Amino acid sequence: MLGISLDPRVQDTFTVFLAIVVEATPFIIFGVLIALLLEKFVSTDWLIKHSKGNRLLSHLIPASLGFLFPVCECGNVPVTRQLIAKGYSVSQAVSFFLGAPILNIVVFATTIAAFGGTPIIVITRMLAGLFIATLTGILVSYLAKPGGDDKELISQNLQDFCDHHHTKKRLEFNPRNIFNTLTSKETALSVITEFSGLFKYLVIGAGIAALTQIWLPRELVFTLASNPVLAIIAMMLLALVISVCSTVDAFVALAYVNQFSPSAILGFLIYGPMIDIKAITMLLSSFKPKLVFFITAVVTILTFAIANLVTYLGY
Amino acid sequence: MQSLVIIIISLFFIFLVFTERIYLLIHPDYINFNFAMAAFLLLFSVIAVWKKIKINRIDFVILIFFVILIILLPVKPLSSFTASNRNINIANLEESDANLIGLLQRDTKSLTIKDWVKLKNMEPDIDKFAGQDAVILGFVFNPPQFPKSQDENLFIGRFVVTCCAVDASPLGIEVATSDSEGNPLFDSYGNDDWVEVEGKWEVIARDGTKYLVLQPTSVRAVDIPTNPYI
Repeated sequence: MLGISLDPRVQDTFTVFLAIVVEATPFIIFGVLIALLLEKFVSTDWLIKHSKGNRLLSHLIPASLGFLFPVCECGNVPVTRQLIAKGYSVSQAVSFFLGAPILNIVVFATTIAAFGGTPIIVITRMLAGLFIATLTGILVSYLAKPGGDDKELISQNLQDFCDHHHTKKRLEFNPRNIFNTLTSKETALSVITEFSGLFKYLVIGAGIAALTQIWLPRELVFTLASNPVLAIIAMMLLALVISVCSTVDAFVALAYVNQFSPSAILGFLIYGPMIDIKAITMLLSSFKPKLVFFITAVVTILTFAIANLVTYLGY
Repeated sequence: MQSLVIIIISLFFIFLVFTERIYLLIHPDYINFNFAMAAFLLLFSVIAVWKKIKINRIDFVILIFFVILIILLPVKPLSSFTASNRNINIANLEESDANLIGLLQRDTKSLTIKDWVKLKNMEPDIDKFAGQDAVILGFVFNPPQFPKSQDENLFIGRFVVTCCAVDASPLGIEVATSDSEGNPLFDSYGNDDWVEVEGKWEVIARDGTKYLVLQPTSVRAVDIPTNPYI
């Protein structure tokens, strides 16, 4: 606001950075508010009851639960832990963990906002998210000894959490409760904590996106972008590093849309919500390293395969 | 008191809306949503200050860093630098607009740069544009790698934005720097100056390629529009 005069290239870097932050921040606040209302007013018990059945269905349902619980990849760890404590098997929880950050109403809205003109990106992102989350969950279900206890896959920390878990009472949905919830100290605490945690990653992600968009040499970007396989690998690596929240990563991906093909953009949009440095760190708090490695490997291979399939189909 | 920094951030978003600077960053469709969510954030951050809620230290450092950036740096539209460095993308626009064809027979002075680029995409025979009047509003830029009919010619451009400034892709129209009698018109204008150029289309051939060039009759300086993007 003081209006320091900058070299146009530096100024444009700031403009792009600020544009990502300003476009994305309201979606973060929106997501935090919805998650808050659901946490207070909606019970997960009936979902647990209805998630049994054959192997396909019992993983497909948790994978698509994100549409009811719009948590991004930062918010889904606590919910995943809670679902295990309430009776989900580890493999079902894995399906939820991977699916929720993509199959999610806020993510759907932001992906349309950013890529509405390229429906292939929106549709493939959603379908690939569902497919990878379900399949990885099913594969994990074979890791646990048949009929045995799958608790050997989770960390001591999560086992203790499950042992001490007791369900909170849900509030009745009426204006008075909503008002009390919105103005309580507990709510302000969770909103401010969630917001500042997510905003941190947004600022870092937007910074990396703006810097690479304005400063990477054109020749390098051109070389990467002109080879479809290299382009996909580059964008998946970027997703791994950038760790930006999935509710707003579509706006970060927009920075590359002028140079990169839809298949490479999809590599970023599918991989980022499921696997990035931040998600791996948080997963290690709940799962054994063996399981985290398995999930990372399966998701990496599947995302790479799907993105290449999109190239093969001509996008 | 830590939450004060979030109050500042939400006030900054509200400030962007009231000063209309938000148009320099995001597509107008998202402004109301932005404003509403900033109001929510303001409400919670006020409660947080009042109830003395603390923020995680690393998160707080990043928030402070962001606040310092927004206090020090100006909010400006994307510059000619970026316009020259992105592919001057004219193929990506929406498909044909039948009304535009009708306009060609009537008052062509009301057409914007976006209309002309669309028309050019729809009508490959650019000879049909020769002699038509045009009034073009945009900023001056000079992309070194982009082919043009005369080396000294400039471009008048606008950015097309579908979501926010991140996806801005430049549109450009080649314009001669002097009028038909050879009087220089652009001597006092340089990169990033906003101008309104009035003139007629000419078709000029160079190395076997035909270029559509605006032959100006007058150039005048204009203020940057509230929404510089289209």
